[in-house]
Amino acid sequence: MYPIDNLIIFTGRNGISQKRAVSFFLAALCLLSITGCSPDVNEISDIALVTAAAIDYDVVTNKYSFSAFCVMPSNTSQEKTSALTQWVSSATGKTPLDAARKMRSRVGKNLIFQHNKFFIISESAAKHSLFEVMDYLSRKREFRLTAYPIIVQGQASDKLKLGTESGDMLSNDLLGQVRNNKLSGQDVALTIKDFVDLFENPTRGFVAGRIKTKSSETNKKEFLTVTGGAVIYKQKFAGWVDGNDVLILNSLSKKKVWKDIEFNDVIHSKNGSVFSALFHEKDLEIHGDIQNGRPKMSVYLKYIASVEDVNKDSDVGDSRVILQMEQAASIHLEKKIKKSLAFFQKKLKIDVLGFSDYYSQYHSKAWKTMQKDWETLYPMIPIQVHVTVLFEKSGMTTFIKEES
Amino acid sequence: MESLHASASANLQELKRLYTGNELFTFQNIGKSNANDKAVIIYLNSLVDEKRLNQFIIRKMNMDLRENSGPAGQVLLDSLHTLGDVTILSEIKEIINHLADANFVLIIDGHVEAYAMKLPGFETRSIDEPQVELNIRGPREAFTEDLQKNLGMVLRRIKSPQLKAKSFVIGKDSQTKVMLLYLDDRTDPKVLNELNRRMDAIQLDVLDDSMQIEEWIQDSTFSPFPQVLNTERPDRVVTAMNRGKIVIMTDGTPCALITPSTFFEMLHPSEDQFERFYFANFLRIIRLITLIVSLIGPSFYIALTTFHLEMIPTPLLMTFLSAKSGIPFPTFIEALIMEVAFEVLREASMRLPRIMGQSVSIVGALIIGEAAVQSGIVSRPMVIVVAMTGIASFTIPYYSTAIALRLLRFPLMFLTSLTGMFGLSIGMFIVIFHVCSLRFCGVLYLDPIGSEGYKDSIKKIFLPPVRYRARLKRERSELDVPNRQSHYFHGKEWD
Amino acid sequence: MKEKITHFQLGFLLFGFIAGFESMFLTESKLMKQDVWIANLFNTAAGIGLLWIISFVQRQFPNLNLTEICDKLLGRWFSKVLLCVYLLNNLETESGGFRAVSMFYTTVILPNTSSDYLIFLYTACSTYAVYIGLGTLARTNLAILPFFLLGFLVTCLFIIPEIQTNPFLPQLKSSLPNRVVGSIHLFTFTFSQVITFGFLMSRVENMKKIFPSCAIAILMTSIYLIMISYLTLSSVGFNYVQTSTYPFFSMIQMVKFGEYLERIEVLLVGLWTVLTLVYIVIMQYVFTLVAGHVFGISKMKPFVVAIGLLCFVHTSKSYIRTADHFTYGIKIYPLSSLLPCVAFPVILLVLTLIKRRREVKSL
Repeated sequence: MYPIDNLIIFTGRNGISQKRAVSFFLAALCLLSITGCSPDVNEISDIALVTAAAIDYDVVTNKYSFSAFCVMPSNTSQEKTSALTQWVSSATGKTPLDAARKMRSRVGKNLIFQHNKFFIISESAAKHSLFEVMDYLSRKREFRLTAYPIIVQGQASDKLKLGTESGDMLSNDLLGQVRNNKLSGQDVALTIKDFVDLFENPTRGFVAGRIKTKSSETNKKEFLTVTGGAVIYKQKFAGWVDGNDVLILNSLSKKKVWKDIEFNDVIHSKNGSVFSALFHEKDLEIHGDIQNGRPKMSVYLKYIASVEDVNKDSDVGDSRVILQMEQAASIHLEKKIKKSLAFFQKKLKIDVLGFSDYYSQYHSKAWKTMQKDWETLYPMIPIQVHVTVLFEKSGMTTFIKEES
Repeated sequence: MESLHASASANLQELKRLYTGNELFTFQNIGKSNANDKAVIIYLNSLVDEKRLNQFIIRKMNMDLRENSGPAGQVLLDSLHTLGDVTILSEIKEIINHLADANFVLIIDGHVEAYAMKLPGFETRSIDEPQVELNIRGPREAFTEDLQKNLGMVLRRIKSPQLKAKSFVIGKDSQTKVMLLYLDDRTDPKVLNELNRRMDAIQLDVLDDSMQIEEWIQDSTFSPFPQVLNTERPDRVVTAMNRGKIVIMTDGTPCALITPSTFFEMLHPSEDQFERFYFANFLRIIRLITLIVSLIGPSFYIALTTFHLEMIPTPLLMTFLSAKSGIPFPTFIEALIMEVAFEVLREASMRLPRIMGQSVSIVGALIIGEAAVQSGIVSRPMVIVVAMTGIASFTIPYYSTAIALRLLRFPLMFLTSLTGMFGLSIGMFIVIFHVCSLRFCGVLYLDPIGSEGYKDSIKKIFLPPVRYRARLKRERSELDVPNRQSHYFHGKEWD
Repeated sequence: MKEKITHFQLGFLLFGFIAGFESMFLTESKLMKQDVWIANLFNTAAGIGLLWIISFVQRQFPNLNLTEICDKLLGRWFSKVLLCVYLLNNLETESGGFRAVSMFYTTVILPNTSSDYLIFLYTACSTYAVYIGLGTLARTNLAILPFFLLGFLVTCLFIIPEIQTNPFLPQLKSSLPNRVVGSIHLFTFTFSQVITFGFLMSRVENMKKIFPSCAIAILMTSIYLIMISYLTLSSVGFNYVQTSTYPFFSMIQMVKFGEYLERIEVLLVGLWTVLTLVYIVIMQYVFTLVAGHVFGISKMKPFVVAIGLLCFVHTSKSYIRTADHFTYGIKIYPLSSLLPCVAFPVILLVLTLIKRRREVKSL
């Protein structure tokens, strides 16, 4: 093409030559002709978001029902305010997928599950066919791995129809409650990922989230609250756990769970004073030993706390007073933890705290023999609880003189 | 080519024949017009300063002729020598060239040579402020169309004898003068030789602009990326020469070409050199970001909103939902409409006179920004995305690079609308691959990437304080551009 | 004459080659769980050993490339047979790579798009890259890797809060067959392909430095693999890794910045797609190189396109079911790749040593 081309060096024309350019344009034309044909396109103007879903199972008819709380904009883009239309649609089918497909085909919009953060699973579905439901939820990338599967007493689909106290969207309200768990520590925010991971573990059970209906204190309507937990063992629902037990469960779990939780408690001191304090877990150590082929565990907990109110005049600036309060608080917490542990061990008889994981990781030899009769061993494990409480903050008033 | 006759009138006849129809061709007889010692002055009217010629030169010649005895031809020649620098010509072709170059030519009867002297009489633009490469700090003069003035601006800044200048005459008809400037101790001789060869190989009838030279000497004709940097700032030329670049200056063009240029050099204006280095580097990082934004902005938006909805935060998606409802077009078409509208607007405001251009851009912004949204043709987020992309592309100072990115945006949008992030990533792979494959005279276009030494690479991408900036070694054997085989590619991949 | 690359670039190519492709499946983590480090250690040692063999052979014949060395050592016909075996293995691996990408996309991200279409786009892209050549590929790889490393760093930083268990405990509890299969599996999918790089070694400027720079690359890749195994197992959990088809992908799904920007996995997958493309381009490049030599092709330019077409056709006809792909990867491939990837270099080494001894004797 160029006269310099026949020179020996520097002839490596590395870019695009004429022929290549022509073929490039042809390829570009081909690409042009098939644009917009992709079957995977979800145009934003055609979609409705699912922000919460509910799965029911009817034992008699053997059918699943799938309900979705959908949201779509009710206005057009010209208006500046963005009001949203919300509705619940549902369908029944032989499998979770069947139900979900039916529901999707009946809705006029393209339902998008990617932003769904809550799967509410009814008690009967959890009891009788949890495996099918979880399998369906974990197989598709559509469903967030970080969504929360939550078990509810009774029917699940009608819970979606309940309003919220604030009037906000249901999912926002639930999300807010999960976020506010750090104020009480009374609910479990277990994601699908953890659910599936624990689900497969044959020796231990675990606690998933629970939703309850609660009537409002200001009017007669019923609302949903996320509190307490549902025990799942051997891929089945096995019972409910109270909020207080869930708090202890959270305290004894991984750091990720308890690091933000700050709960309050009322403590009766020996000298008759009653005070309440906020507790924040600082450190947790769980030790397991084996004595005579039997497991033995001890738990060390460290809390920092702050005094919030005191019923009678006492000088919280005085270190003796604080020491007394600390003692009272640690005794109180130890009792509380022991009570919950007793509930898990003696009453529930399910290893929801994952002691079996501990033994299989750190005492893997002994675990081999223990594994077979873990179910009988577990309720008998003696667990020692040691709690230390440190009152770091005592508030802006240290001492109020009571009028006598 | 024919050499000259001894007879002046024969030469004159020949020239008259060549210039038939050109009314600018003028000749004046000198002295007495007897046949033996006829002398004629020939020039092209309006190229030559006629006033000085008549009032001063011809008058002086006639005077000398009257006062001195001896052969008239010799007297005239002596007289001419006292007036200035005389070029001796022996061929008709040379005469033509010199006439075109604002010379007047003296033909004397009995001489087989002609004598030319430069006497330019045309007007040139005076030195102005830069129009395209604006700056806040730093020199404020720009090249003009006059090569001599431009050379003056450059030579004033470098006084080293190492500064070499080689001239070429390009264009069969235009006979345009082109200068190759470089600092001999810093330039890579391989690149220089190759560039010389490419300059020699240029075949043009008329050289209008340095763009033509650029096209001829670049390696890849069909690449969308500009491979030669052009500048209107003499200070930039000097900086470049100091870094071992070769500068090509063309008569009649207010732009100098800097070769071999790399992509990163085209990304940054010369003003970076004159800023505090923190700020300069901050700007460089910003420009790297805007480079990516202006290339993939709309594609990324398409990928997110049509394929990967899960990546958009839920509250934002709700906003998008209400913004997009009622828009009749798919996102891709919407993006295409807006992009094309934006390009039209940009082009319109650029071609109009400056005052009108501003009003056009305001009207256009109003139309696109408000009316299109109001009437439900495009959605608000799309307007934001396209506007952001457009503004991002304006931060790239070098116009041709910005154009390349703007063009590449469209195929990337196509690919993305087909397969989402998959298409975008393989599209980007092809773009990066193509840029990596480019070379100029064997020098990598994406220079610091792929050349050895990470310290030097960082110095090329970012700007250290002045005292730490890379100084080229004085020894040619230790040149910054090392003599490595991988750095120079001599052969073809598949033969 | 062909464009040369530096030893540096070759090392980075090796890193990009393995880091991109291997990270998606992590099959060995599924098999070995907490003992996955064994597989990685074995893999590193075997990889460096293989690298030493090949770079040693190459250094004995600095002016020849590996195909020519084969001809010289083995005789023309026997070398052709062995190279053909290698070509088969290369083609299998390459189709497996193409299929892995298309399958990943069709199961996870673009469920309705035809996989042939994705494969076509991918082959077109890789054929273009092969056409332009190795030097450009090496530089492109250098340009891409910073982005990849940045993405990886972000993943690491944001996945650390999700870490729940120590994934390397209890030690040595996986079964012996699983350990063997897992190690061999990892090796065949990663460093056994050093043989592919053997064909590129003659293009390196400074041959003495091939071994150190590639050994460093192998070490870095191993560190990378151990890191992602650690992160995946510890954050996703053993049981989930066991059930998940793409454990690493499940892991990056959990990366989130606060509560607002979640699920940025698609960005990371984009980077992964590009690096896998590097993997495939290298395979296809070497295939073209070796096939051109074996079949004595004189006009290489159209041949490059023909090879691209061959790859497309072969891929679109093989491993159509996901299960086929997995069965092949775990059961057949580790065995079938032993001959071309391990026996082949060892034969070359032995012959080189014999030849050297003879030369010494004759002197």
